[in-house]
Amino acid sequence: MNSNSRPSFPRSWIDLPLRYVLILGALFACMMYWIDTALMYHLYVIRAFRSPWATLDAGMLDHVFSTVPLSMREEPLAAWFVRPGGPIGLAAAWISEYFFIGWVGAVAVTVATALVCLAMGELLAAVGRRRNHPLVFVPVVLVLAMAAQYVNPLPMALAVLVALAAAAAYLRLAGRSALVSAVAFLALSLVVFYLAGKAYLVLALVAAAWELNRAGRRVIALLWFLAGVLVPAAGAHLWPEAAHPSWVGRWLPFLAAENGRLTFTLPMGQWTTVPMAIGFVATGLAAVALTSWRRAERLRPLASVVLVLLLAVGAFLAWRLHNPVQPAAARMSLLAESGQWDRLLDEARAFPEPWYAAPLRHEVLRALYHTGRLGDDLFLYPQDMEGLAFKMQRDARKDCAAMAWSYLELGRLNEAEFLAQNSIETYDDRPGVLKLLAVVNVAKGHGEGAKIFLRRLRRYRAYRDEADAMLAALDKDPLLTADPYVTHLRSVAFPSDAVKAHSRIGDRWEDLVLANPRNRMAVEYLFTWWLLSRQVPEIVNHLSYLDVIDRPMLPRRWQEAILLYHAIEKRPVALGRWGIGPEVVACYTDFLQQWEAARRAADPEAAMAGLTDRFGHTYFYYYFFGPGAGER
Amino acid sequence: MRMVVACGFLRTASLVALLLAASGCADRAAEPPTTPTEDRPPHIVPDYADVTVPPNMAPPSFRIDESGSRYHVVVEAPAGKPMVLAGGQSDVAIPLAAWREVLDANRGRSLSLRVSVQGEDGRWRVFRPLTVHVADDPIDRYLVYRLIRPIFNTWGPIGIYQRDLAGWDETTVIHNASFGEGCVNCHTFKANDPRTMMLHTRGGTAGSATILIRDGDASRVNTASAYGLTSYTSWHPGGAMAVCAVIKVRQFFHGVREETRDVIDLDSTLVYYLVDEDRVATHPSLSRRDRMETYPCWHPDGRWLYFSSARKLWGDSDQLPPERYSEVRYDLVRVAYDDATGQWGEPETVLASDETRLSITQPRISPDGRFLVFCMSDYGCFPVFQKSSDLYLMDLDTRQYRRLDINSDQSDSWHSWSSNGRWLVFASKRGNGLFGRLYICHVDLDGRFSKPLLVPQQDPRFYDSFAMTYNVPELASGPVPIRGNRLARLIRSPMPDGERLPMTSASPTVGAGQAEGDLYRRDPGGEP
Repeated sequence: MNSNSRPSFPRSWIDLPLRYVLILGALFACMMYWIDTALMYHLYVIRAFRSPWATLDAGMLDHVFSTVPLSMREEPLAAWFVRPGGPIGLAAAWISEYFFIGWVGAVAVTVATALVCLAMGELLAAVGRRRNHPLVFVPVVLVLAMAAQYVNPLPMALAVLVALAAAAAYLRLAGRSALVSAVAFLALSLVVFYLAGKAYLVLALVAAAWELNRAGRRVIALLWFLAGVLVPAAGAHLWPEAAHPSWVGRWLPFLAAENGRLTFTLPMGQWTTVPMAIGFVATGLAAVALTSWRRAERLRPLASVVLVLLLAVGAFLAWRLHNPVQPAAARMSLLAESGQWDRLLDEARAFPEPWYAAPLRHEVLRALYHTGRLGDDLFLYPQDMEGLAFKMQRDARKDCAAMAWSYLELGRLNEAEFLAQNSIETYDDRPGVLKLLAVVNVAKGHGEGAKIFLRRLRRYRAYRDEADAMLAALDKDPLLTADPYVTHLRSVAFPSDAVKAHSRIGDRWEDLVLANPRNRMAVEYLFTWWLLSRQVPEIVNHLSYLDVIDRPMLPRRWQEAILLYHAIEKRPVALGRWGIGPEVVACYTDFLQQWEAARRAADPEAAMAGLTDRFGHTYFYYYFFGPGAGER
Repeated sequence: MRMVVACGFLRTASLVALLLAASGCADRAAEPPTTPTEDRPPHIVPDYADVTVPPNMAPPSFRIDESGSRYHVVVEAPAGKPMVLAGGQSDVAIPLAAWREVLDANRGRSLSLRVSVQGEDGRWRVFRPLTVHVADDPIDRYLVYRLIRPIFNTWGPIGIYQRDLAGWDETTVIHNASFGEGCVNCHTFKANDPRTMMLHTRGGTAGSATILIRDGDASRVNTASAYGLTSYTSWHPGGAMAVCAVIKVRQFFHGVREETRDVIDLDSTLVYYLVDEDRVATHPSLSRRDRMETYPCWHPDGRWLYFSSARKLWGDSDQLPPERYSEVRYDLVRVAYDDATGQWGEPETVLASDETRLSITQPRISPDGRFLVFCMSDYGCFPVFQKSSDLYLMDLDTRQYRRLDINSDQSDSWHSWSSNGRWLVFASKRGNGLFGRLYICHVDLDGRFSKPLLVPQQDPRFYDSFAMTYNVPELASGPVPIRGNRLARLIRSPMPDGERLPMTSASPTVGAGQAEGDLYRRDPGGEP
């Protein structure tokens, strides 16, 4: 081949090492400052590592929440080596365990991607092309697109690396004879499929495309194409447990398990597989194009344009697919886990309302309670009744870990345990839930049961010290009688058994208050529920519950609710030691005036927006305009 | 000795590599004195001191719960050379092959485990020896059980597995992920023979199914009746019939009780499935409107069917839980059956809950027909969620029963016999109160039970962090002959006939001369 005739980018393009430094440096910067690999760890890695089965198909990790282990038995090491994709999965999982240290994750992903780029260069060199061809950097975009969705790209990168390296080796060997090609392909197929699972398809595609371009090798090309499907199918057959459709589906790119059956599916339908689909298309296309160029010189410029377009589309996808909601929720969860309530509330203020799913609402309520701001700053954050109105059966499949923590601290230990176990049943082990279950069991006096959860918790490297400390404490004192948190939980624990769901939602907190009037959290949550459900008379009629509140004035929003009741019902309220501050009365008067003015304004929408800006944090506004107000 | 380092990779690797199995491999220079310096045996976890092990089972791996820098264990047996195991870690995993040799040479005898621990100061503490008894009676080689999360509320992962007790292999029989969620339950063999078995699935996207394996071939059969779906099953010894409970089972939760979960049958009855005729039927003796029948168990002679039966205390079978859920107690009942004519007799009460003040469930009769082991708990039909559940033994010759001393302060339930009647396996939540584990006891000819033996795992610390619960253990003479993917395909296949079979026998009703909810006539006893 004549390298002078190749289409090329301007010579002013910087040399290969510098390109690597610039492009991979950009990737590293993105991983460090745009994508937080520490959050990726909490969102994703801990799941993948927990269940070795989940990374069976290291090259095709997707569906974070649909991975179901085939066996409950845990063989942490052996399980990785007895099934296709396991070794690469293990390597990826082992490295990913350190992602909780943000820079380690960024370095690992960047280095793995650099190796993939080098393997691409080797592949190109094997067909006589430049090692610094732009195609070499396609994997950077793929990796970024995956990472932007907070899907750990490391397993894919390592698996593709193995496949590309094998493909380069094949191209070096395959030129000799059909027999050598066959032997090389067979040997490489076995190795790559075992090491990298479904990424084996990359090898099959490249090898087939290469053979397609060679005279008299069309049959071989067809065989290699078929091998891309048949080898995984044979693997599924030989390994009995792999016959499960979900695993076969993971090996084959256009098949997925649905209700236990294999169905054809377009990968574009699943966001997390988009980058992988692009990867396959790009690799296959590149290989075919490269091997075809010898005959179709005129297509070369077109192929270069396609490659540039691919890079552009990939970059666009990486930007578009960046999902800030998941990491934000994970971050809130982490802040709650570590009790950084002020920081949680500060960061949550910046979140747009659509991000406020039920778990986040619970974290915010808990943070407001722990900072003593629940009655004052409640409406600085989006609120509605649904946040608190959890129904055990209806919402069983929702992620209820955040609510479980609330129930625990409220004193409903069994419900907290149920919610946490429910979370594990649906979403598998997660450190926060394991920790909660350990605490619940300690509070219930089940020290040995707690230890089982703690020993599971310590498998997560980021939590090992914490788990070890608690295990050591339990060894010294199985009931942790000296632990103030556990002592507090026992002091607020609900005393009498009940087996029926509460007919009224508020009863779940009121029962706690009646059982233990000193349960301040239950009192505050009960009043919060009455606020959110607009049961203002209940607030007025139960001011005696507030004896537990240790502050000179009632929280501001509760004062507003009482004033509202007085204004609407025109009845006197026996406030006891409490009073309504003049500033609350003034605010209400102002609110009514502004509301009236807004109704008469020439531009009511703008006027209402002004009302929202000025009074959106008050109970007056929530009562009349908040979610569910129209139903009244 | 197989001394295993304490964590992760190294521990697992050491299970494979760091074995000093033969006495010659031990570090002679580091050998401790032989005279005990401590007036007690060492603490080992799991507690295998004084257990009786089957002569064909894998070795009990354990951890020496004594602090030290070097550990030394000598396994001494009446026949053969002592096995010396030494190392710097406290985990002891006895090599499989060496253990088999010891057991083969010492059936019916006792082994002595002499444990010594060297402290940081170089001083050895030599403990009083532990004893492990080797039974002469082998146990069925396979143990089939279900693994489930402590709470099963959203059709989460659940599966039936089989463990080769001669080694460490565990394989999946069927997992619910392979047929689209749902519950999988009640694997039942005919006389411990997996070539004839039944299992059920309930709910999920594939719908409910009954799988019949007969003579090693599997098929999906229609056992759904007008009453509902079949569950707990017992095979008639002849193999032509299986009696199944049809239960309207529901789960609910306690707000404060130590055990969060509870399960109740809002209604139940017994039906029988005639295999050759592929037909479901029932009989008034098995099915009374005013009572709830469940947990069938055939006597090995095939002439008596034992089961649990309780007065139904509520009219509304949809209210959960019913007002009087904690008052329902089951009696132990039996009914005669003539295999030649297919005739059922009148039910008789064998043991009344009025007498015991406890609920009697899960009767299982030993293969020789002499002993009946059952659960008794404060109330209800699901002893695994009753902390009060204990195992009891009834001598069917004398009708005398007693609480077994193998029980714990936690739930003990889900027991089953080995094919030779010399072993009983059961699930117990002892130790942690939350997760069921499987224990094996040797039973001698007089009905004496040995100290429960926790089913050994290769990794001595396996149970320390295993957050699944074991239940429904059944001993089997061989592996289940049908692979999981075949079973899954059958479960996913359409139900035969596409509709529920009607009940073909008499309409269930109250027996002649009896009032609603009355007990059955009292069995006079005498005939087993």
